[in-house]
Amino acid sequence: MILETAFFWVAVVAYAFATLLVTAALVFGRDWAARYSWWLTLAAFAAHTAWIVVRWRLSGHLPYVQTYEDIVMGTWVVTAAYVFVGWRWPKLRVAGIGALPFVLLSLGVAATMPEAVGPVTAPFKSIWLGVHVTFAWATYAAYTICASLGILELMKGRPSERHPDWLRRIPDEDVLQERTLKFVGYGFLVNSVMIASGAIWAHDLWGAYWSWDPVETWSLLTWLAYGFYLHAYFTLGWRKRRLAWIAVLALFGVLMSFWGVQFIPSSFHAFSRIGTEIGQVGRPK
Amino acid sequence: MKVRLLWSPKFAAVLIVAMLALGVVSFLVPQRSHPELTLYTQWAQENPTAARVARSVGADDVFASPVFLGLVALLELNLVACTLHRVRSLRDRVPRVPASAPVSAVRVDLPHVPEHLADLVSGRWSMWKVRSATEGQRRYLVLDRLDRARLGSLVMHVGLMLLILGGAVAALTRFTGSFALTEGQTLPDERSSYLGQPSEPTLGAAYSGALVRLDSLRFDYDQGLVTQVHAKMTFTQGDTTRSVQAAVNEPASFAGKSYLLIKGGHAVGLSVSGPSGQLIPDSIIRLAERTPGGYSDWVALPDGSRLTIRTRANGSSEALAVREPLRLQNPVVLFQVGDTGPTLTLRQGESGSLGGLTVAVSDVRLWNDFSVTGDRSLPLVYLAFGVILVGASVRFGFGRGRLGVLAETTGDGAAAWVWGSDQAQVAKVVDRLSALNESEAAKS
Repeated sequence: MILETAFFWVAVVAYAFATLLVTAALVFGRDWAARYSWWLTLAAFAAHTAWIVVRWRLSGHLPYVQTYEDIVMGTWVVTAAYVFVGWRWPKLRVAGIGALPFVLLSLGVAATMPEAVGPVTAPFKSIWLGVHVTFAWATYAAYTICASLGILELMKGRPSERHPDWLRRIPDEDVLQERTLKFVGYGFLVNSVMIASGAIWAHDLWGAYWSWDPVETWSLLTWLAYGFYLHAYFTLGWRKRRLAWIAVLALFGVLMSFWGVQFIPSSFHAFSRIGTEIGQVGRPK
Repeated sequence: MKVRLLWSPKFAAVLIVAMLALGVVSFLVPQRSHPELTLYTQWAQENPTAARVARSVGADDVFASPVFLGLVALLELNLVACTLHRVRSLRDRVPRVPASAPVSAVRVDLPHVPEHLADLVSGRWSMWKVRSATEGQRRYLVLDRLDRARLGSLVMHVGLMLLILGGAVAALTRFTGSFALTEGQTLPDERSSYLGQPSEPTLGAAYSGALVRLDSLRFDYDQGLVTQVHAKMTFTQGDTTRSVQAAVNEPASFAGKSYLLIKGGHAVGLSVSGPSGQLIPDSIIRLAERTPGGYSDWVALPDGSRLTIRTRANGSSEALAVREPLRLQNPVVLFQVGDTGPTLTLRQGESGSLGGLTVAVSDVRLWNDFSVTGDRSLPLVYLAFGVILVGASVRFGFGRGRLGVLAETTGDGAAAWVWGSDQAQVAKVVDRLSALNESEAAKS
C-alpha cells in the first residue's frame, strides 16, 4: 500500500514538473526545458507503470474496477500514446502541451478518491467489459493525441513571422494533419469496438444494448464528431485549421463521456457504485 | 429546406452539435431518468418554477424528449440519404485536384506537364481503378486498388443502416418486465406474474406461458462484497424441460426471453391469524428494505395497522451489522405491531402470539428480482456491429491502396509528385515519369 502510494505521488510530481517544463519550453523557447520535460515524462511513466504492477499484485486483477483505478489506468494509456509519438517523431514531443496537463489533472482527480484494493464485483465479471475498457482507454489515448497535435497545428497555422524558434522546428501543418488523421482513423476504429463491446456487456448485464443513458449518448456523439472529422477530410475536402479545430473541440465529448458523468452522476453506468451492493447489481427501473 | 441538404455532411454536423448541446443540458438540469430519483425530486421541490419549465420543454428527460429523438431521426435519415447518394456519385466520379501533394510525395522534375497522365499506367494496372482530372495546367491522376477504402467506408455505412434497422425492430418487438422469484417458487410467463406494468411488444406474442422455477440461489462474497450470484433455474414449456445456470452477466435464456439477475433479499414464509380467522394466509413475504442488521418490510393488517417484519443474523434479536447480508447465519425473524407495539422473535418452523395475533414462520429463504427482456433485433444488431467493425477495419486498418500523381508547372518547367501507400507502385510510376523525362530530353 505504501509502495503503491509512493509510486502514485512520484508519478504525479514528475508529471507536474514535466508539464511546467514543456510549458516553459513553448512560452520561453528554451530547448533544455523541452529536453528535461521529456526525461521527466519518461520517469513519471515508469513510476506510473510501477503503480499498475504493484496494484495488480495487491488486488490480483488488472486495476479497472474502481473509478480511481480506471482514471490511473486511462491516464497511463494516454501517456503511453504520447511516449510512442515522442519516440517515433521526436520533433513532436512538444505535443506534451496537450497530453501532460490532461494526464496531470486527471491524476489530480484520482488523488481525491483513493480506494483500497477490492475484489472484482459481480457486474464487472465479463470478458466483454475487459474488451470494452481496454478499447475505451485506447480511444481515450488516440483522441487526446489528436487534440494535442491539433493544438500544435493551430499554433503552426499562424503567420510564420510570429512563430517562435521551437515552433519553426516542429513539422509543417501538412505533416501534423497527416498524423492527426491517422490517429483519428485509429481512434475511430477502436472507438467502434469500444461501443460495440460495451453494448454487448450492457445487454448481458442490464438486458438492453442501448438505453440512451448519458454515457452511451455522449460516447455516440463523440464517435459521430470524429466521424464528421473524417467526412470533413475525405468528403468535404476540409484541411488544416478547420480540421484542427474539430480535432481539438471533439475532445470535449471524450471528456464528458469519461469524466463528466463521474462528476455529475446522471448515468445508469455510475461506475463508482456498480456492484457495491447487491441492490445495485442491476439497472434501476 | 433543399433536398440536397439531406445528404450533406454539414447538415450532419449541425445535428451532432445540436445533440451535444442537449447533452450539456442533461448535465445542468437533474434528469428524471437518474438512478437516484431523489436528486431530481429534491431539485424539483427546491426550484418548482424551474422544474415546471424544464418539464414543459422536456429538459428534465433530455434523451427521451421529442426534440432529441427528432434530431436522432433526422441524423438517421441523413445517414441513409448520404450513403445512397455516395454510392450513386462514386460511380465515374471525377476526382478533385488536390491543392498540394502530401509532404511525403516523391518529386520528379519534368520539362512540361504531360498531356495525358493516364498513359503512365496504361495496360499495367488491371487491378486498379484509374481516374484523372485537370484544372488549368494542373493534372491529377488517382489510382485506387480495388477501391478498398471506399469499399470499407461503404460496408461501414451499410452496418450503420443495419444498426438503425435493428433499433426499429427492437422498438417493435422488445419486451421488458420484471418478476420476483423466491427459492423453490414457480411462476408462469404470463402478464399476472410480472411486477408493475411490463412493456409489451407491438409485434409478436408477449408471453409464452412457460413455467419458470427458481431452484436455488447462491451469493459469492469477497471482503463483504458480492462477487457473483448463481441461480439454478428450470424452464418448462409443454414437454420440454430445461435446467439453466444463470449468473450476473450470464442471463438465463428460454423461449426468446432473457432472465437477468437484478437484486435479491430475504423472504419469509408466513401466516398470520387473528381471533376471527386467517388474516394473512400462507404466503411468502419478500423483505425488500435493506437495513444494517438484515432485511425489513411490513404487511398491512385488516384493521389498518402494520405488522413490521425484520430478519436478524445469528439468532440475535439485536440489530447486528451484517457484513454479508444475504448469508444470514441461523436467522431469526422479529415481528412488531406498529412502531411501538410488542415484539415477537421466531425461528424457522416456530409460531407465537403477538397482541392477539398468532404468527407462524414456515421458513426464511432467498428471493431475487429478475429483469425479463425479449428482443428479436439482437441477431441483426450483432450482425450490424460485425459489419461496422469489418468496414472500419478495411477503411482504416489496411490502408487506402491508393496512388496519386499530381503534375503542375513550376517556375522553371514542370514537376510531378507521386505518393501512395504502396512504395513499390510509387517507384514504378516514378520510373515511368523519369523515362518520360529522358525521352523528352533526347527529343529536344
